[in-house]
Parts: sequence; structure tokens; C-alpha cells
Amino acid sequence: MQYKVTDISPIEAPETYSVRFSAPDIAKKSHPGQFIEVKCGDNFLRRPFGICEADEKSGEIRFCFEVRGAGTRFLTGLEKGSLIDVLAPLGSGFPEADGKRILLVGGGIGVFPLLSFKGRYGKARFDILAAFRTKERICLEDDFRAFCENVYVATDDGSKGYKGFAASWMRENDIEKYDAVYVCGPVVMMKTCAKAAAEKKVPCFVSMEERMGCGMGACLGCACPVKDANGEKTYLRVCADGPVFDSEKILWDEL
Amino acid sequence: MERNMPDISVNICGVKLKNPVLTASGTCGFGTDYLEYYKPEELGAVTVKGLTLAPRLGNVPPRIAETPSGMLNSIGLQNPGVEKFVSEYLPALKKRGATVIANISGSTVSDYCEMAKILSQTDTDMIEMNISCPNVKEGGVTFGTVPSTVEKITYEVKSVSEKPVIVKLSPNVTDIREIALSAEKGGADCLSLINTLLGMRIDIKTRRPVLHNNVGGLSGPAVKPVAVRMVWQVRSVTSLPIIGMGGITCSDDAIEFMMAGANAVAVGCGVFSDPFIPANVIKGIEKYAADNGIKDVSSIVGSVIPY
Repeated sequence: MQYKVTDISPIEAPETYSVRFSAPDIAKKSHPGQFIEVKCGDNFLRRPFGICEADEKSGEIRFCFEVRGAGTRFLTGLEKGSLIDVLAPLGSGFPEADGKRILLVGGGIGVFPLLSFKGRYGKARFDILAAFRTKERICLEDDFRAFCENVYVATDDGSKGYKGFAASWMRENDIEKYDAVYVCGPVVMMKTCAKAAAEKKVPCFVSMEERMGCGMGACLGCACPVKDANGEKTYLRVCADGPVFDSEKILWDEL
Repeated sequence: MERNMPDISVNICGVKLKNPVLTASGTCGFGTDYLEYYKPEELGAVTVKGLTLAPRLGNVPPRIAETPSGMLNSIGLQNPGVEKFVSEYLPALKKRGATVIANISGSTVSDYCEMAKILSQTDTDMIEMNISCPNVKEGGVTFGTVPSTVEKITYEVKSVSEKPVIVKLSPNVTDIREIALSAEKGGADCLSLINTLLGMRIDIKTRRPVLHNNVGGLSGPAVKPVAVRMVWQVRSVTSLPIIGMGGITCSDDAIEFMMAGANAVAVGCGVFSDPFIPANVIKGIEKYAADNGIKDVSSIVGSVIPY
């Protein structure tokens, strides 16, 4: 479906942009953690992006991206008024957070889909741990301050905030007070955060990624190795069964 | 469907298809993932995900790689197995009124025969033999590239099948006509082509193939010229019905395949890019028929005039 772009602007981190487009139908239906599939010019396969914000009042969907290849490079050519071809909302999203106290943990551009909790689940309480390689890569800090009680920033090199990885912060801080941890970031980071959460027996949900074909669950391209009900290995689809999974189900050693 | 639209139904092996537009195996699951964009019962038929006798886990990811105007896949035939298909997925599809083609793959001739026997006892409409999948290490390619093997396996499956048997041809052969004739000799009721071309993509940053399986099947618009050529070549040696596929993204493509000799067409990975393609191809063929006063779309089949 074609939608009109209402805004595209660079955000703080290098080669990173925020796009808003008008899609009241998607805004109404979507849940935090779901994603969109965008046709990027002549590139054959659509590119998946986490929904950053779904504003039911304005009917706008926001997503952010870092330029990584041909598809994202195409998107930098969008302007206000351009048409964007999007399939959305896709995927299963994060578990209901209503009435819960949640620690959001984002690694780099993994913070983008975590913003989708803004304005959602009225009685939920959110804190965010936003981990970046270096202070130049920090983004959306103000957006998170708008709805999170606490915004903790971590940088690998210590250039701002806590020095170290997200998992170390989780080990050094009291995360038992949270009902759950929702993580999104590079696989290595999610694996270590899942382990840290498990050590403190805090439920942990991760937003996985894998190269996608259809994005709808039909082609079985985006397979994620998980344990089935009998503890046996099977593959689930990141696009349809995920992208969010209970971290205890993921076979991390296979990734 | 609107009234006053021309009748574009076709008859393949005694099965009436409401239109000549199918979806290809592996691209539409068991027919229910794309309900927002097309209903399986609105298509001529759905070809379900390739089935094997026992459930298969599939290949280690990554299983997908984009290529110019196309993609590679090495899914590895992840599927719940033929029995689960029969008990859980087929009834829902038939209840909706869909025409169903069950695609089967095996490592041995007896695998194919077992599955054909099982499916013959169901209300599956047709069986499509995948003798050409390049992703299965045992069996797959071996069957589909040797004419005598193609003839034998077709013959064995036909001996036990009570459903029309379609043989899906691999393009990774020297002469597709030879393979087509072998399938016909073995008793094939219908031929479908092309399956994927064998391809590879290397990530120069990591020096690794993009696919964990190293190689995979190429599909999409990039393969269309090969597919059209092969349909044309096969049509020149047989009068068996042909289902043509390979990079179809619009009704013009579909008509091109039909003029080359296909009685029906299948849309495959095109839906990943644009899920409206199957519905648009049906509408486009209806419009073409209406605009050109065509009362029977079969008259388009093989109507290309070569030099």
C-alpha cells in the first residue's frame, strides 16, 4: 500500500534518519514491537523496520533507520510528500505491558522499536537502558525521557554514562524489581542480556532479526532456532512467530 | 469477481481451474498467510509448500539472499510432513473452496510413491513432483537432471497415484526438452517449469557466502527470460499441459508465458515484493481477454509466432 511521507529528517547518530508517514489504518492496528516492510526502489526484497511510533491521534507511523546498504540508501532520497510502499503491521510484538514495570534494553539502533511503548499501556512503568558504542551514536534520548521514568545511557567506551555493555549494567543493578525485560539490539548483545536476566530470574523477551523473504510467514526464510515444547530444536519464523520471542526459548548457541 | 468479466477458466488434467493463475510452491505456505491480499479460493489453484514424508527442520539460516531483480533461497524444505498436511492444513484449504496442488519431494523413489498413495486418499486436486529442488543434498537434483531417472520416477509415481501428476522441471540441465520428453514418457499428466536456477552470492566484507548453505535457488524477474525460453522449448516437443513460472510480476508476464506455451502460470516470489500480484494478474488477464475479444484463454496458449 502507498502512504504519504510527512517527514524525513536526520537524527543525532551518524547516517541515521527518522521517517514519518501518514497511515491511520496501521497506527490503529499496531502494537509495540511490530514492524513494517518497505519497498526500497528497485531492490527486489522489502526491508523490515521496527515501528518506532504509532500515533493514533495523528495517524502517523514513525520508523528510523541507519544507512547500511542499497535499500536504506534509497530511503534517504525520500522527501515530505513522497509516496512510500509499506506492508504493515507485521509480526507479533512485545507482550502486553499493562500494569507492569518494564526495563527496556536497547543496543544501538535496537532502541528504535522500543520507542513504540510511548503513550501505550497507560498503567505501565518503563525504564530504559540505552546502550551505544560511543556517545556520537546516542539517539532518541529525549524521546525516551518523554515517557520513561529513568533513562540510563551506557557506552562501550565510557564517553557518556555507564562504561560497559548492557549485560554488565544489568548484572550490577537491581533488575529484580522489573516484571520483565524487553531487549532489542545486536544478537550478541541480546544473548548476553538474556543470560543476565535469567541469572536474576527476570522474564526476558528479545526482538530477533533474520534475512526475510516474504515477511508474512509464508516462505520460511527468516528461521530462528528455538526449543519446542519438548525441548527439541525447531525453527520459528521471525516475521510471523516473532520478531519477539521469550529469550529462554532461543537456541542462542546456534546464532 | 465482477459480473460481465470474461470466463478465463482453464482445464488442466480434467481439473477445472477458475482462472490460469496459481501460486508457486514455497511462496504461499499453506495458503493462509496472504489472506489480506488474496484468498486462496480466488486463484486457479494454490501449490502448497513442498512436503516430505517425514517433517523436515530445514536449513540453517541465513536462507535468503537478495540478488539483482531476484533472490536466492535455501530454505531446505522445512515442512510439517505430508501426514500433518493432510490432517491439519488441507481440510482448511478445501473448506475455503481452494483448488489444491500438493508438492512432494523425496530422497528415494519410494518416498514419492508413499506420499502419492497418501495424497491419493485425500481431496487434494493434483500432485506436483519436485524432482528439481537444488537445496536437498540427497535425492533432489539427481532425479531431475538425468532423463532416464526422470522417466522412471514419473512412471513409479503414476502407477500408484490416483491424482493427476505434474512433474516440476529443473532448469539446471543441458536440454530441457529431453527432460520434458522423459517425464512424458513416464506418464506425466502435466509439466510445470521452471524451478529455481542454482546460484550463489558472496559477501565481500566477510568473505563468506550470504547463504549458510553456500548455494541456493535463484528466482524472480531475473530468471524470466530463461523460464519463457524453456516453456517455449518444451511446448515445441510436447502437447502436455504446461504450468509456466519464473519471475512473473504482472499480467503481461503471464500472457507472455501463455503465448510461449503455458496453459496456466504460477506466481512465486513476486508476492514477497508485491502481495497484490496474484489478484492483479487475474484482473489483467480478464482485461486482456475482454479487450481482445477472447472467449477462451486457451487460444492464447502457444500463440507466439517465432521466426
